[in-house]
Amino acid sequence: MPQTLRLFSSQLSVSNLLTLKIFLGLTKTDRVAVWEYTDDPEAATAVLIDTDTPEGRSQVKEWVDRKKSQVLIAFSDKGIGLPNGVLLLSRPLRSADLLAVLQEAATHCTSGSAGQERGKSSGPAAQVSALLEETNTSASFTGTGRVLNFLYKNHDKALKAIDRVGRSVIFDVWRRRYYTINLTRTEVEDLLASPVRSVQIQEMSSNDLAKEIQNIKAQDSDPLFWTAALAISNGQLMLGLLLEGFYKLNRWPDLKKLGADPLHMKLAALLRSGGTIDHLAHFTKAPVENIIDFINACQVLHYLENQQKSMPSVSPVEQKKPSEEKRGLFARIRSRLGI
Amino acid sequence: MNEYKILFTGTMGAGKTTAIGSVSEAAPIVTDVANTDLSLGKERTTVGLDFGLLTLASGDRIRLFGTPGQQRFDFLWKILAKSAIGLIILVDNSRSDPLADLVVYLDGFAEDLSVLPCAIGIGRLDTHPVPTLEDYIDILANRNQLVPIMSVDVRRREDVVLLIDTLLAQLEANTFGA
Repeated sequence: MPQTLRLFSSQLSVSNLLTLKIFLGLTKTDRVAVWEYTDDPEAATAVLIDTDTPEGRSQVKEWVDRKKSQVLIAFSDKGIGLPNGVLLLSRPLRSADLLAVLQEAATHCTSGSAGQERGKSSGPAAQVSALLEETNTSASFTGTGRVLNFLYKNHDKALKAIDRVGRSVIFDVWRRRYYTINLTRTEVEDLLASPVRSVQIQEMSSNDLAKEIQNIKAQDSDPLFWTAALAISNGQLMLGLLLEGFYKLNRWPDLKKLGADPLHMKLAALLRSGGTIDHLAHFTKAPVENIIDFINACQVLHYLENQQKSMPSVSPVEQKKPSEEKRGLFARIRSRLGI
Repeated sequence: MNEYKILFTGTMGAGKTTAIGSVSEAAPIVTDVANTDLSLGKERTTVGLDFGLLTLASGDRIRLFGTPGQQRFDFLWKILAKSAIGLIILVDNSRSDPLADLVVYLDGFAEDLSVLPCAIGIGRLDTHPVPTLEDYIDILANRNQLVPIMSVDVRRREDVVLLIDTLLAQLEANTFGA
């Protein structure tokens, strides 16, 4: 029997509020938690605040100061500077994102320790976590989080995902292949971004896999997972990754296959010897959220070493001073080659 | 005016001459002779070195050198690698043991690779899918070498440009990185 949970919102535009109420209706069939809208903030299990407005930001601060037990969800474009424990719902309002965040919020509520969990949260890494705890080998799975994160967690399995209208895609995660006959690449990307509970996922035996993919063309899942990870990342680290962690590549990402983004090329080169997110942002002069997106995508494809230790911070005077001459040379070579 | 050097190496038939020609501003100077290795399926092969050039707006020049592929000329590899700013290794996946071919060049340039940015391009993966790119990555991982590697068609200028761009990214990381 699902629990009924209530959501209150603040600072949302009229159109977003209407959309939100419609999307909440999508949880009616959820087996764990059904969400309803409430106009009473005190009766709400969770509060959604548009933090891209000054009023919204001050409300978040007030909420944190009062140490309320409700789950707080920030509706924001970037979500930069949110306090620990605040869940992020990225703009624009999309059903898949909302359902994923609501499931996360429901997990906090049903565990009965939302406040404690917030206290223990280790920065943005834990805020929009979507990794599943479940690694059972039963025939079908349920859980929280997005399908992509579920596949990441079950990287040694073959899994069949069936959407609400019966269309299916088979992920041979171990061999980095996927098979589908009735979903386009974009639709599979959307499915990867969907909450696990909105999709039926079954584990397949090797015999079943061989039988089902007989006449279906295998497609490389790396570019698919990469694109999906970048798309749903929204500048928030996956669960288990730390903002202050030290990251290093264990293999070079095939950026020809994954899309030759100049920033990704630079980040990969820097991550050969490893670095923290702050260092990467400093040297590439790129926004932190873009670095985080790249780290997440690398993690999904298992390109990162499991090295979570913090690196001692390097003071500005200890950092190598950029040689303008060399920087200019590299720029001129690129310009000459039309890069 | 400064001059910089990028080195292209790899097995016979891997496409070093073609790669240099695809980005050089002028037709590369080649030192080809008639090929006597019938198994190679090509009429001519490089015995000296190939040379191409890129002149930058500042007047600086990037010299593109292609080594002879044959291992018996490995003494030339070391000479050419001196003062190079980057190394591109090209491997022809249609050869009988391309993984071993790669190892030859990794060994041949082992000393240089500790300091020299490198990128590896695997050719003809489309027509000869085995060994796979993953197999090459495994070889590199076993050697504890994290070298950028990608499939290439050296007839495509953008593929060669991507290899060079990969070198530049490493140079920048070495220069400005943590």
